[in-house]
Amino acid sequence: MEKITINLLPPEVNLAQKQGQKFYKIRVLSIAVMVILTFLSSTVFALRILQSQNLTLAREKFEQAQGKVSELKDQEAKLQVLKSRVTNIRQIKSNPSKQSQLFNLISAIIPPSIIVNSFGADRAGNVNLSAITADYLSLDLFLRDLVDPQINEGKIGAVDIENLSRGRDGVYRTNLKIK
Amino acid sequence: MNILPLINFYQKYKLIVFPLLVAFSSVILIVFVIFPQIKNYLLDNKTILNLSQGSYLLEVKAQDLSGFDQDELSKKVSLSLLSLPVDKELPQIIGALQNIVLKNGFTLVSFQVAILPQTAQAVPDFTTKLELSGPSALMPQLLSGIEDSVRVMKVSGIEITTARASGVSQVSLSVDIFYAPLPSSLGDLDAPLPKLTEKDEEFLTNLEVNFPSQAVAAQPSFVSKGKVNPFE
Repeated sequence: MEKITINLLPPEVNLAQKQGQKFYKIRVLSIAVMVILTFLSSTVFALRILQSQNLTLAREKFEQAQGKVSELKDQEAKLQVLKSRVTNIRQIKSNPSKQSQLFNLISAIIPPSIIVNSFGADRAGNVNLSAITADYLSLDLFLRDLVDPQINEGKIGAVDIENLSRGRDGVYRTNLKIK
Repeated sequence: MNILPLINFYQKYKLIVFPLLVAFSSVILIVFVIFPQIKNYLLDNKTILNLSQGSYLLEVKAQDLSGFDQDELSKKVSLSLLSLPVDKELPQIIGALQNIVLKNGFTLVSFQVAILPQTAQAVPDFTTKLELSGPSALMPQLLSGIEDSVRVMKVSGIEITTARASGVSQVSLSVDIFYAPLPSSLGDLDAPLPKLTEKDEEFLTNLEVNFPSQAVAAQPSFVSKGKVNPFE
């Protein structure tokens, strides 16, 4: 059997009761928020205090390490100088003189019957060679060797015969431009 | 001061005023206390991390540096500075070139230095022009003597004219001599420690092996200084 409930209180009391309940809820919620925020603030403060101690320790340790390195500053400077020198020297040595290389190459392949009157290698690596020979075949062989990539090791790109003449004495005179 | 109207106002609107006051206090607490503290906490955490990393790197650096033999390092630095000096060191160059020329059977006729305006290049240089005379058969040795010299130099031009009758060659050589100023910053605490690679060590050993015979000769000879009458 269902119970029948009848509210006999006046409506303004009812309203006041409802408002009271609502206010109670708001108060509880507000207090909870304030408590949480206060707890959070205290926690953050506590963490900051701990952190400041760690920060001081870390700073001290860093300063100690800096001191140690400062004591060895001379060593470090020497090492830097050494490294920069070695790097620079190795860089220079890794590009040997093209002029010397061409001189050595031509000296190595020139037949004995060819006499070089003059040899000139300019800054750009262009070579002017003036030579004489009584043996045309040697000259021919020399010219072939100069342009052969397997023999010239890729150091010679082109050979221009600027002048080739044969005198009454039977001697061939030639001027070559080697690039 | 009559606070009764205020109490009445609060009683009437307490459902709005109370939460508003709490919200305002919360915002104040968050904006002026919690947020700045958390922000500073995170920043300081980063600082601690950086300091710890810095300390570790500095400790390692100090350990590495103390591991070097000081005498050996000084010796290598002197050697490298002799090979690639900070300045032109002309007296040393004249001595070194003269020695190389004589050693390879040539005679030094004249010596000229051309210091041209520097172009932008990693290692600065200046050019010396040597007029020599000697047997052309010894040219390869002369060239390798220059290229392999302790002082870093490179042949940049060759002119050879041979007199057929005498077999003596007149040689004009252009030689680029290198030097390099010191690095602008030396011994910076934050700079990482340069490492010498195996190839660097090998190169230094080779340099050291060639050092005694050439370097002694490369040093300028010391003669008595001064003259009683400079016009004589």
